[in-house]
Amino acid sequence: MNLVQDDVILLAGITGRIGAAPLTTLVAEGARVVVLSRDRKRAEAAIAAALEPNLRNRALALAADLYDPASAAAAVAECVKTFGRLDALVNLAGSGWRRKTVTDSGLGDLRETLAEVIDTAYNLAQAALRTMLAQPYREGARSRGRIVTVTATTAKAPNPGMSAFATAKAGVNALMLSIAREHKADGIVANALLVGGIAFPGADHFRSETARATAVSVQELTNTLTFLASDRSSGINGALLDLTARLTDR
Amino acid sequence: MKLVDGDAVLLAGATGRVGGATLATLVREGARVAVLSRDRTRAAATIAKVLEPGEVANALPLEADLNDPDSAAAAVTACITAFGRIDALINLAGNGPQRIPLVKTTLEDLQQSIAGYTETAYNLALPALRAMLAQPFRDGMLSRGRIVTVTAGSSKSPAPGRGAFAVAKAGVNALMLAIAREHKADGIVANALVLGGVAFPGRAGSPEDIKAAATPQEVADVLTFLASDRSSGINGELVDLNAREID
Repeated sequence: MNLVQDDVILLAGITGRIGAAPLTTLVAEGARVVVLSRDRKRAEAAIAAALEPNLRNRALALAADLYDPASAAAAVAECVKTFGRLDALVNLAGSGWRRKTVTDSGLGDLRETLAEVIDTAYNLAQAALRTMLAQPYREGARSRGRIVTVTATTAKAPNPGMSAFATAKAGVNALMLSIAREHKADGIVANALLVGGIAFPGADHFRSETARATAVSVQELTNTLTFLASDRSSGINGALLDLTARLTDR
Repeated sequence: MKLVDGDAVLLAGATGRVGGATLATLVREGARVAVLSRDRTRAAATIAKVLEPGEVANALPLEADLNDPDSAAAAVTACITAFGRIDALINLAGNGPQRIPLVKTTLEDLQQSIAGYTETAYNLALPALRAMLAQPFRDGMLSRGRIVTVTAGSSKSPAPGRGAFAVAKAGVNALMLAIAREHKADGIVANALVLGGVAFPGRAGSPEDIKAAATPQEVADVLTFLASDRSSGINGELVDLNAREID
């Protein structure tokens, strides 16, 4: 049985280096997907890259400025207008990090990263949450809506030089837990998926072939995100789930 | 797409509270399942109860004494004889005194818990691991074999009166992490599923408590995912299954 059959999923943050694999898999598993990007043309390009022409009517390209609460809310409203509801939010946006130690950084650096990572996650999650709370359960579903945001293992065990990014992603982890705890009785499921090294398509930041083989593949990330977007993951709620694959003792 | 299509899964503890839902879900998602119990008759009864007649051919009843390493190893061998390989082990088995305040326990109580939970998990995980290491990856798969053992919230945060149980289950958590770390480069994926409350039929508690607890089907769905190759990114984890009890 398909994991997300006829679910409506809002997918943010795949027009960067992650690539289109999450979209391909979500649609193959039965979902209708709104692809959100800063630039609608990039969202359209992702749909063209991920889906065969006969499947492209299952995806909708939208632009939003996630720094702006009204823009994020408008994207959620457009999703509901087009597909009738919002079953899951999968947010991979806000991944930009700059290596700077605590002593070398200033408050401006911290604020810039907090805004990019936390503000955007908050704006989108809050709009999605409000919409989910206002909609009925899908027939036979155990949950009303699922929210999963990708964060980073460095939020729990910061690597040197990652202070601002780690601080920001820790905030997003707490945001997901807060949503889960405030709305556990309302059918809302919220989790963070913590990633370490990801072997992005064309990534050249690995020291060796061994390091690349050890990293989590984009397809592995996609497979877990798809499960967490599905009603079948409803037992896992308010979790910070590490996706470390073969880096498990790092 | 089915989650465990064509996979051979060894399911231990299938005759317990969440075993039936897990067996039915695994078979509906495409697996062939060796159903392990202390008593083959009980394994066969569970198969007959939860599977449709047309599905029964995908399940094999087995019995083993998991306190006996040879008996556990024989069960793994029987799975491989029947299905050709072992793609995943799901272990729900374990038994022992669950609720005794530590102050009233004796060393025998602790040893009984460790024998019933930690040693049984070890005795079954070891032959499964050895068999997985000796087999090739299935075509197109990201992992060679998956091991998931069910533990309990008390293993991380012991509830009063569950000290001996908590110690034994914490040992199982460490066993899963040790397997994951020793064999991460060999295609082995090992995790513990740390259960909170489960609303099994007949469970006592207020309506709010029952509603907050996970249903057996919620447990079964996560176990099926963790038994599948699609969970290969999650390795060496203690995955909390708290449903609506999270704070």
